[in-house]
Amino acid sequence: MRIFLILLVLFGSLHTVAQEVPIEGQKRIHFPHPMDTSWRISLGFTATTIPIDIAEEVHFRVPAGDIHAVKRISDKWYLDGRINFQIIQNLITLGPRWSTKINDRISVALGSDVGYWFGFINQQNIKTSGSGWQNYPNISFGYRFNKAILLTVKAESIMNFGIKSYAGEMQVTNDYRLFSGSAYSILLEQPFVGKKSMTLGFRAMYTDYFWQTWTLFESYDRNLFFPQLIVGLIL
Amino acid sequence: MQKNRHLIFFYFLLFTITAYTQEEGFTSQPTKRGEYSLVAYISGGAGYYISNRGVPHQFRSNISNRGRIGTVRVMWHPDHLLKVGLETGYLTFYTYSFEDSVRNSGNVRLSATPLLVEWTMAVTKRINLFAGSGVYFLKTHLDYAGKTSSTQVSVGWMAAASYIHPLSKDIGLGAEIKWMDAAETADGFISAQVQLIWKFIKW
Amino acid sequence: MKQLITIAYILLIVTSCRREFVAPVPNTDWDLFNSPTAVRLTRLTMNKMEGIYSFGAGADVFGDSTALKWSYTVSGNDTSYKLSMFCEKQAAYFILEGKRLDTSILLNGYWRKLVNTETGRVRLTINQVNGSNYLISPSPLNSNNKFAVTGTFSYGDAVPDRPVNIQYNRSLNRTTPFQIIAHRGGGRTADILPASENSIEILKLAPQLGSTGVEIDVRLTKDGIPILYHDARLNERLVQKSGLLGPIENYSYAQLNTIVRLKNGERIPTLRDALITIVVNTPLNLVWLDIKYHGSLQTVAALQAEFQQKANNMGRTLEIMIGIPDEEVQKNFLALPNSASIPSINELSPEKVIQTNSKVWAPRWTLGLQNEEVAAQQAQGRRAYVWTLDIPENIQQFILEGRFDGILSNYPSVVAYYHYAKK
Repeated sequence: MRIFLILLVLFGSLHTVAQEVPIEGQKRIHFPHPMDTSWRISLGFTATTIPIDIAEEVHFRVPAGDIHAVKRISDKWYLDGRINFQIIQNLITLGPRWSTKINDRISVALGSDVGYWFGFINQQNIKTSGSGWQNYPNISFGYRFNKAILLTVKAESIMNFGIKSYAGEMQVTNDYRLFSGSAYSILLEQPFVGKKSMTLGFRAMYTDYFWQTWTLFESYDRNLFFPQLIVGLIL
Repeated sequence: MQKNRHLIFFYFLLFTITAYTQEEGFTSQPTKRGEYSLVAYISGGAGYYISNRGVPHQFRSNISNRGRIGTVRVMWHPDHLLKVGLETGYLTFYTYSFEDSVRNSGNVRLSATPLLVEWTMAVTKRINLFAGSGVYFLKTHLDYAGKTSSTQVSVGWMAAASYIHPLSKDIGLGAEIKWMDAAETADGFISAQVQLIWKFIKW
Repeated sequence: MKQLITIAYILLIVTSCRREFVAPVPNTDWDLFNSPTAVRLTRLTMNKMEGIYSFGAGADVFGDSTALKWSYTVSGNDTSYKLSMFCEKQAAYFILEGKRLDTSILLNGYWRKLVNTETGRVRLTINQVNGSNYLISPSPLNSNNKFAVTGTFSYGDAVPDRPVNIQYNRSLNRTTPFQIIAHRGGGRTADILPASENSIEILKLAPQLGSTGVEIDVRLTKDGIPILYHDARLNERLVQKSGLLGPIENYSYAQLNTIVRLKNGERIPTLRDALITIVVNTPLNLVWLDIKYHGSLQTVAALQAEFQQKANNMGRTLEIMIGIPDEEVQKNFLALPNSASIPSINELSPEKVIQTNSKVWAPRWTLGLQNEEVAAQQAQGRRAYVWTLDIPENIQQFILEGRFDGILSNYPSVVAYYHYAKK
């Protein structure tokens, strides 16, 4: 299915009649392209639906604040840092990106983000805490449409390790795979209002351990589907 | 998988129609920086329930998976291509009637009021695409062993493509194909609507 | 246009991504097992077979050892026996039928891992070389009697061809009474068992999964009929799509019974039907009625009394207890006439347990082992059960280091394994 979709995108691009809008000056944060500014920041939110298999009646879309920043290091290198926060549980990721242009329209980036999540919550008067490390090796392809519309397609591997969770003083043993799953994203970035641009995206995660579910102490060894909306205002 | 086939066909049709459209000026494209407006889309039509049938297997029944739909959408048009707004309305997903083992009859109707945050772009002068997410306020209307109504809120999605023919500078008449999906209850609906578009505030 | 494609892409991903997990019970036909000369095993043979065994071949898939135990269900005048093997790895279990063919014992059935969807067929034999005569003979076993079980297993519906063998080590741990309580009647719908949670069918399966007792969730319909159902609403998790949504208490029993089916096609059972099944058709000796609604408990208490009496009259060892999960239910429980004499399981504090004169205190597992608190309850003549414990390492910890009298779990087979294997 996804291969079909990728082909659809690429095929569609063949019909494009070019109206050139230079990439320089176009605000972007996910789009894989060498940076022409020193910094770029976006503020927004992500909303993830927890699968009904594990969330049961608490099956709703979980919003989290999203602060995303990229910092230019050199012509083709930049750093990508992100904080996904819900106060009671938060994820910080940081990783390098190497990106290059393939042609005027298409560009690519490779990266590997290291993440650390932590959370504290009082569950039924019991102090529960958890933390863990993650790694997201990733590859992104970018396609530059007319009218300053930037399309990013991204694939990530999801790795989990070093997970520790405690219910009160009791350590909870978590069973999970190092290679927990994968995620596939599609994002559109384009000018929205004034000089600000908007990111709209969708990320499909397939993983047997998603950090936001640490309080559920779930026991399944299945790659469950976690759909995630990504919305950001690029400043 | 059944749901996927309907959607694949829908998008292929859309793709075929628009694939050869040359890019022109957009109907909804802003004229200059700093111009904003609010645009209302008032739509009505009919649709078809495309998810797995909701009729229980254990008895024969008549299902009508055609339903009516009416929606109101207000979009904020800033000074770029991307617009955002809200849509609400009312639709009937499906109705069915049945008989139990002692021949008592009953019927069920499932309706919904969506409340969605939507984004839109004009892909040509007259063709606009919409996508959004929000909630559906679902309602069961049951008439069997007494009348019962029951409600539930479900998160959901929508997507649409509309063609707008301008009647004047601020008013247009259009047609829209729309897909709506209440995700938690796996209820999907494709509809065709006639639409009145009115740019009612500018600044 | 081009933008059109991307939005189409987004929506297709959104709608096409969800994968359905299935774990159908494999077809276990075996000609040899179905031979007309194969006969039922005697109770004596079955009892001798129970014990702790070590895996040889198959240890990489199922773990190092397994606990074998028989259970039964009654259907009319027929009693059917199943042999369960509870394993260490990934909540794996086997459910087998047994027959004797000449001097060999044949075991035929399937295995499943509850943490994922792996399942398959298994065919096992105990022949004379491997000690079947010790099991078939009317004499009791002695420590010199060694026997082993050999055979093959497969994945899915494939014909079994991978070797598996187990060697008898020792008898099951039965030193102290211990309740292995299956959550929601046997397990969750999401565990993809052959039956839905809180159904009649899963109650009959519960003993094969290792349970000695069950916890079932009780709600009331609009017309006051107690039914088994966990969630507050009819939802995609538990029921097939029917157009009926919202709180289950909005519907009468007639409406639910006619229109709604659980995920595997079962009807939503009444509490009455569930208790009939437990009392008449199963060997379960504990029922924990988890009250999920706020309202009068009169009807539930009446059913508890009726079926407790019925079980007593049948000579069944069975306790039916009303569960008290929150303050509101406690208030409604105390409003019952003679509440102090109604058997109950109280999840609240030890002080509340005294107020309701509950037989059992049931704290959440995240509170820890609480050995002192448990000992204090036992000193007062009460028992302590802990809920709902699913992580195997924590189950092992609670069994080896804790003092609880029972564990409520979605994986009763794991609890069974660690309990019976305890030295």
